[in-house]
Amino acid sequence: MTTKLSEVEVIGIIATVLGAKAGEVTMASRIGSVEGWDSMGHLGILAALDEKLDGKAADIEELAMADSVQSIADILKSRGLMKP
Amino acid sequence: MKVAIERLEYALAPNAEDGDRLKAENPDWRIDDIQGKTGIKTRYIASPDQTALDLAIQAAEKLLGSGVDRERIQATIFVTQSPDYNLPTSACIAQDRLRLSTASLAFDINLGCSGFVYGLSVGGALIESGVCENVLLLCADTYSKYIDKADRTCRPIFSDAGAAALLARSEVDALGPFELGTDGSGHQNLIVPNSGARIQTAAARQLHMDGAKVFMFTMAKVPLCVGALLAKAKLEAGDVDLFVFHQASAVVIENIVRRLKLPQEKVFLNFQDVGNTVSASIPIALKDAAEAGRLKPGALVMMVGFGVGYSWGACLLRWKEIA
Repeated sequence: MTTKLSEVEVIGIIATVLGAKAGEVTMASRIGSVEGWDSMGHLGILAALDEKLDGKAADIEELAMADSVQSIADILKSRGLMKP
Repeated sequence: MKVAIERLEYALAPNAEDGDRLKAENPDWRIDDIQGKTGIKTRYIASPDQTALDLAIQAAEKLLGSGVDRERIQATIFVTQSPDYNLPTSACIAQDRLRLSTASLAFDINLGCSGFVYGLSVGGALIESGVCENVLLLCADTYSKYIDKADRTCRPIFSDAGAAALLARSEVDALGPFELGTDGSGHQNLIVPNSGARIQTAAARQLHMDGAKVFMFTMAKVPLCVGALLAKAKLEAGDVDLFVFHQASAVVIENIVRRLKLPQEKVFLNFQDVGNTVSASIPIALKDAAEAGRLKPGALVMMVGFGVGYSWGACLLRWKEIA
């Protein structure tokens, strides 16, 4: 069965990777708006998403260009990897 | 192929750079955070007047100084993306500086992190086909010359070094098979744009790396390459004694290893102390693995290179005790 993430889970994954405090990462957060979310931090987010999604994120090239939590969620939704 | 690596040497650039140095020059960088992701503690930077060719010559002189007859070398292949000149080819200059026979052939291969594997395939084929009895394979790069001191994406990763390997005929089938691939659609993601004839400006030549795109390429492609090579060799991952990946950075290798579900003890890592030395990275890791006792004679090694191009390659090697 395909693993699907909720918005809360996506936010949680990103916050964990960045070592952010509760509430610091929201759907509106973008690269540069949270400490640690730079080009290096983005790699950690991509890797963590791939791990949580059982290796399915690595094949989604567009995730490399996603620059916000919302855009990551939109891409995952379009691939059926997020809960409605 | 009945070809083996007989000798292997390397030379790191002389100027060590650690996190303190980066912090002193870039006080706004979060060095602990950067090092946590790259895993790289120390890198080596070439002097202003020192090139990749100089580092390759240093490594080759170490190798030749260990009892190899220079007259015996029949071919020099130089893998680099930081040549002394666009023309002539650096391998020709290496032939002269190393005082190798003029009856030997010499040419460059313009590849980066996959270059050692490609060099093994070409050098091995020259020997296997009877063109040469042996090949001196040089791999060296000085990417630091393309990196601005304030570039937080590239500077904490890349390191300058040269490596030299002597390939020679073997009694046993020691090298191969190979799995090689290319996807030039990613060429803009790791590039020095004004380094050739396409874009001619007076601006400094600077490396551009879209780290996220290159990372996604490696996560997607490298495990497939490893799987394809294992299938070609009719082996399982468990049959391989040691995996030596291009030492890109911690986040890259950790995620390749995770996706392949490889046990950590079967993966050799030395990027912490050496950095990402591009084409020299795999031969340096091989030498370090051998010196650390991680490679016993007869051990089956898988080498996997990947990066700029995009280009990737993997091969198997039955390890022979090297000098």
